[in-house]
Amino acid sequence: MRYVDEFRNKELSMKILARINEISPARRVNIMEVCGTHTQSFFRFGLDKLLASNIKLIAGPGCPVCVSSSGYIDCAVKLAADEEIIIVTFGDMLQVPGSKSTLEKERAKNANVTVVYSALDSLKIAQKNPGKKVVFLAVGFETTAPTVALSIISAKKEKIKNLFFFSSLKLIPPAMGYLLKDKRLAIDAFLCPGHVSAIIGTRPYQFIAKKYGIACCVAGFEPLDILEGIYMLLQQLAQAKARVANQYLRAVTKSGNKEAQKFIRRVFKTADADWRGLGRIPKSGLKLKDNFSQFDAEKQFRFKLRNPRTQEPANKCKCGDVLKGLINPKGCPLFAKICKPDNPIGPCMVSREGACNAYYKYR
Amino acid sequence: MRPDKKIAVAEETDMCLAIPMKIKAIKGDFAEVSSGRLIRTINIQMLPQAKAGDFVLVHAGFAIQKVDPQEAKETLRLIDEIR
Repeated sequence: MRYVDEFRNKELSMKILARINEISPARRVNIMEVCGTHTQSFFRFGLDKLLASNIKLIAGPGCPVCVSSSGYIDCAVKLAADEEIIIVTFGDMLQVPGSKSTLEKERAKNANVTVVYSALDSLKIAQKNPGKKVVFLAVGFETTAPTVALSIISAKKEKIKNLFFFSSLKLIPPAMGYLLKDKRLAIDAFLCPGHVSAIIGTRPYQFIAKKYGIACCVAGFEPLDILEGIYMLLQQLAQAKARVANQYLRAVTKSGNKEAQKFIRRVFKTADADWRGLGRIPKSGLKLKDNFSQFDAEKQFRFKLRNPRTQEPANKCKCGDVLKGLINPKGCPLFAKICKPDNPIGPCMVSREGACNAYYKYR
Repeated sequence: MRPDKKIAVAEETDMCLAIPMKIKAIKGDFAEVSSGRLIRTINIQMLPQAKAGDFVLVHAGFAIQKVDPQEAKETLRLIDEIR
């Protein structure tokens, strides 16, 4: 078994689909898929065309690139302008618009911006460039947080002095809790992110089922995973009993990867974080603990993030409403007219995981 | 197997995507893993129990979790039994 093709089996997919269409209620059912990778898979495999039309999948805020505040990008752009600094980042971040510029535009103006696949690569870059200060843009959710934590621990062990981490790492459950407080949001169920859950387990979602009575199911990313996840959610709706189900049993347990959690706790503390489109959410971010402060870019460069609410781009971009699931991308006046993947206005169009990008590509 | 490699490379730039890869050999904190023709060296510090032959989910140069073969089979069996 390779754990990919087996979960793309067409016959089994059709079988679940038939069953989904049998048990789905006649009314409209809103399922929010929190993770951008679910959004991508859903369209990529054409599942949107196969599901009954009353079952709506709403793309949530689970794309780390999309929710990076423009204040964060502005700080990165400012750092990139310094000749002594090398910015190291994941590729998706290059086109994310700040209030005035993007890292890609800065790079075209000769700023030193390097794209890497892993946070660990930033250590090698720092070692190869002893005369420069290297700043890694740490963006991601719980899936990525332990990879950054381990890179910081390695940097300390190797006594690297010219490497700094600028953390915009974010946590999913507090963001889901925040969404649930918005009364305009009409969500029947959450399809919870598989790889965030591989780290944190299923337990952190319990409050959603218990306190808000909303069905949850952790699911993997192959077509069979997503379809079974939807099926398990519809079963819960039929029984009118909300709980946290787990479809992704091959990778997700109740308590997650405890070793990974230990590394996160060793390096990071929770802090309030700014989410593009949503604003500031209490305790939804990770910042470096004091005993790793020599690697903290915010301490090293002493810049302050401005309030993200006052500096969202003054245009008609509706990314905020898209991230909350209040409208779908087609409800934005800029979508596919001005805002396209090669000219993204808002962050949801930038990343391959963004809802607008997925809609544009597959619809 | 060429398309496999292409897809794997394209997908792994997705922020939260992790792909299942098989451990070939372990050297300290690192392991050589493969998927189709794609071979990578990844960090396995999050999975101290990992051993050669295991499938692991690889994200941003790290193994983040083991793939449980028993549970995978069980999931497929349960899906097959849905009626």
